[in-house]
Amino acid sequence: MTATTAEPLVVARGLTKSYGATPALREISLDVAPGEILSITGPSGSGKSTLLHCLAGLATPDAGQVTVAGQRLDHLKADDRTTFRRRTIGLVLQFGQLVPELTAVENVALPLLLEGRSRAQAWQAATDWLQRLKVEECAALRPARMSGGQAQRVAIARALVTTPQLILADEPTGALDTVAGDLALEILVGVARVSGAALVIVTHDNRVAGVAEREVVVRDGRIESDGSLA
Amino acid sequence: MITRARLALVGSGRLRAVLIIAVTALVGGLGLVAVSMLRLGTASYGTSAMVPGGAYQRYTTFADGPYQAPLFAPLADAGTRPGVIFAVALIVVPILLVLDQAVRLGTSGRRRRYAALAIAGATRRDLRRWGAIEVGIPVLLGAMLAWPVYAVLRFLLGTRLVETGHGALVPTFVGPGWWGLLVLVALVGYGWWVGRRSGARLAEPITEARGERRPPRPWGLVPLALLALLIAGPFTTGSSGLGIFGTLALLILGLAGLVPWTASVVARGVGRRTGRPATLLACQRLVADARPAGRAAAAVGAVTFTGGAIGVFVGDVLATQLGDRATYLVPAALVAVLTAGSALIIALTLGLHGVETLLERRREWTALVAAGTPPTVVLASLRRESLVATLPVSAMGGVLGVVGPGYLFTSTGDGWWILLPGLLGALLSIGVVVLAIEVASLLLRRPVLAALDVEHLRTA
Repeated sequence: MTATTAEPLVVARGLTKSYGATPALREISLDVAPGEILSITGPSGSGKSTLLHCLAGLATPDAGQVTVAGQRLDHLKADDRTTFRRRTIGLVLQFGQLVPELTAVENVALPLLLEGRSRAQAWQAATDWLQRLKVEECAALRPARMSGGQAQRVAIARALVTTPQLILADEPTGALDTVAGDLALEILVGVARVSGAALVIVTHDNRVAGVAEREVVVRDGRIESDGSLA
Repeated sequence: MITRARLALVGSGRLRAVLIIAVTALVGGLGLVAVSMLRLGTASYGTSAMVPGGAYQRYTTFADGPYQAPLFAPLADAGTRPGVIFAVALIVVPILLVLDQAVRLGTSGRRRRYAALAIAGATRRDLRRWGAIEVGIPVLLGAMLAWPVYAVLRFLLGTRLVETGHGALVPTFVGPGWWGLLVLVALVGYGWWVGRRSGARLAEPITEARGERRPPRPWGLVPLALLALLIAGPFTTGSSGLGIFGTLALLILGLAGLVPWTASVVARGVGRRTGRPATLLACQRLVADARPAGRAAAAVGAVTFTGGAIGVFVGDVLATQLGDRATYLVPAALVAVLTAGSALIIALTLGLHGVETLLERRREWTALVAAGTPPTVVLASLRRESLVATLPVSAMGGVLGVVGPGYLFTSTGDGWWILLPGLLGALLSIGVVVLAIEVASLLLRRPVLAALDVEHLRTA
């Protein structure tokens, strides 16, 4: 289950991206194998979140290309890229990712409704995921009524409900206390291992990086080191 | 005080201030026109005579002198004058509601500013007061501009029309007088109250502001019940101007007051059953808080009521007027056009509400799109939110517009068939509301899609 033993799930080549005159990524190339758990670390402003956004097709690189599950992201139109992301990539952000007006079960069921599943099917699957992540008591609550940890677990459930091949997490524990953060991380890693999905975590927290099998350190928009932690 | 006012104005955003000034000036100008029409009084002030060569022009001779000035026929006729004034009110009310939405512009930025001010030591009372100042001052400026707006309208739709041989739509020989001052004071008071309410909401701690709100109550039933009592009981609204305006005021107030409640109830019901993502998003936004959308859509019941009533009125004209039908049908058509204009303003106000709500929660919505929800689904949810907010009370207004005037006309001898054009009018006006929502949705498509661009996820 490492990058060297399987066809890469993610192939990024020569990624370059600038925000105005400020370079964020400088010709970064990276492979991620199926089922691999990878952390991307580095100081603030090093380009790690920009890299993750490029891998997710959220940010368009100025140069270079990203292929996920055999699909070149720059070959997809915006709408198709959105659909591809929903089916293939689970995205977990630091905060502010649940729709405030929807309850937990509705937030989790939404991607399935978008896939054309019936309401009953979507609700059943969403409820199962909430149980699996031990937040079933929040099913009827809106995000404003949940704790940060509960909201993050609901967000993880939403990211995983479509059983994506790739999970991209941007500082998933950044807004949580140690206990809630550890629990969220444990769940993310556990689910990735069980489902065989690759997990890429962007973090500046060494504790979080420690759960990964491989660590990529980014500094000044370049990969400073890339090595196995096993 | 001056420092506070400067602080409030500088931070409130130029576009927002300009929009508030413009809306207030327009509402004030139209309000002054309506008041000048009201000051024409009733038929006892003078008599009317046909102008040779112009079927829809009449001279109104006032009792206090030999002054003569041609007026647009429906305005000269004391019987149809309330209808014309109602039509002006119909266009004023939705524009007034735009003010409510204009006040909300830039809420997320203002919330951050208020939070910074609170950290710097401002109390919640200070923030409420600043909210009132930052809206009250532009409203005051707008109210001062209302007189020039009125003067322009009077020149273009009064003096100029008379000079070209037509009847004046805006009276040229009678102005708003001191009633005008009353209208403008009321307008400034309304603006002050809207600003204070907005400031109070922004002054709430973020956790409270984002918490769940109590569902709206059906307080709109109170004026409707009062109206029913007045009609059915020993009191009579009569056919006097005051009676007609009292009846219409209660009806509009009732329908407007019901919008948040009906929107919330219908959204709750539909939201529990739907499997469509856009409908689910739309309904749950309304369930979370139907008040802002309700305020934006408040006048929609009056629009469809008018549509139904015009239809019945046209039926009555066709049944009873064999000769000069145009005298009645032309003003009816004019009111219908104004009604359609009102529907478009309401739809745009609703759209503005939707976009503002989206911008308030931009991070969450952008994250939703990043997670795989097509932006078009979010756009569709805004359109459906407008539909769910407007359609229940539109139907109610349409039914009342057919039943109320229909009862009056059939009880005075008309056949029941005059209800059919009424029904057609109501259905058409509901169709116009739906069409206006579609148009507003198209107009707002670009800013919505720009706001949801996932490239901005990190800065949203």
